[in-house]
Amino acid sequence: MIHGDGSFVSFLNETKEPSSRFMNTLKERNFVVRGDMVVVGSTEWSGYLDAIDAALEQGMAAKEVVCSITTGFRVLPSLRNAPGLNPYHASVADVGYGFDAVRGTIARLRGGEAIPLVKEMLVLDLDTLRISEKQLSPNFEMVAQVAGPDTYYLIEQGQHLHRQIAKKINEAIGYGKALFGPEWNVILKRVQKVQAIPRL
Amino acid sequence: MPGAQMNEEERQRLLEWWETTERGTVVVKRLMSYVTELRLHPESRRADGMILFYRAASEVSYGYAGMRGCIRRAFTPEYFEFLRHNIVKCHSFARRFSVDTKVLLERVAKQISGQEALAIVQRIRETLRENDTVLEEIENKKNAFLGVIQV
Repeated sequence: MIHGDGSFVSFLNETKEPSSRFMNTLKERNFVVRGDMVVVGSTEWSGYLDAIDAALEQGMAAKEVVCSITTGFRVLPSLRNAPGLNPYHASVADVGYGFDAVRGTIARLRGGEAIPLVKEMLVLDLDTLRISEKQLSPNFEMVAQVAGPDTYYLIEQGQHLHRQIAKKINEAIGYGKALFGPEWNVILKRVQKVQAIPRL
Repeated sequence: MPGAQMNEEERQRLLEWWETTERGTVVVKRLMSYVTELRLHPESRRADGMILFYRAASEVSYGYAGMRGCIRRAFTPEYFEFLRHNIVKCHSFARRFSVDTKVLLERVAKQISGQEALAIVQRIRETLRENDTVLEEIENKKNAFLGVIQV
C-alpha cells in the first residue's frame, strides 16, 4: 500500500538542484523580466532554459507515476470502463508529451543544434501543458466517483500528483514568460492555430 | 511479492531495468521535440494524418513514463502482481504506438515536399529506430528481472 505522503515519488528522482535556486540566480543577475532583450544562445537564454528544464525534471516522477496509475485503472475491471477514463488518459499522455517535448528541445539546444522554430516550439508545448493540466482533474474526478475502497488510495495519490504536476508546469511557464517577456503572447498567437487542432 | 522484500539480486535486476529506461527517456524526449517541430513547420503543419501521428507519438511517451512509474512503485511495498501486469501493459503501449507512429509518419510524409520538413521527417525516422533498439533492450532487462523474482 502506498502512503499518502507521496514519498515513493521522490525515490530515484535525481533532482540536481531546487529550481528556486535557479530563479534566485536569475534574479541576482537581473535576468528576470527582461525577456525581450534576451538573445537566443546567450548565457541569459541558457539560464532560463536550465530553469525550465529543472522545473519539469522535478515533475517527471509525478508524471511517470500518474501514467502508471492510469494504466493500472485500465487493468481493473471496476474502473477500466469508467466514464472519464479515456479523456483522462489522453490528457495524461498530453502532459507526458509536453514534458518530454520541452525537455527534448532544450536537450537539442544544449547539444548545439540550431532550431529555427525553437521559440514557437517552447511556447506551444509549455502553453499546451497549461491546458492539458487543467483537463486532468475534471475527468479524473469522474473516475474517482466509481472507485471503491480498494482503489481509493490510487485516487488520493493521483490527486496529490496532479497538484505536483500543476505546480511544476506553472513554474516552467513562469520561467518561459520571464524569458520571452512581451514576445510570449506574440509567439503564442502565431502557434494557436496548431494548438487548436483537436487532440482527441 | 512486495518490492520492499526484494532480495539483492532482484533489486539489482530492477535497477538495471530502470537504467535502460533512463536511456529510453533521452531518446523519447528528442523524439517528442521533433514531433512538435514537424507539427509547427509551415511545410508540414497542414499535412493529413498529423493529428493521429501526434496522438500516437504521445502514447509512446506515455508508455515509457508508465513503465518508469511502475518501476518507481515496485521499489515500494505495493502489491507486485498488479504492478507487473501494469508495466507489461505500459511496455506494450510504447511498442504498439511506436509502430503506429511509424505508419502515420509515412502517411504524413507523403503530404510533404519541402526540404526542411522532410529533413525533420528523416530525423524522426532515425529516432524511431533508436527507440526500437531501446525498447528491445528494455524488454530484455524486464525478462531478466521477471526471471529472477520469486512470485
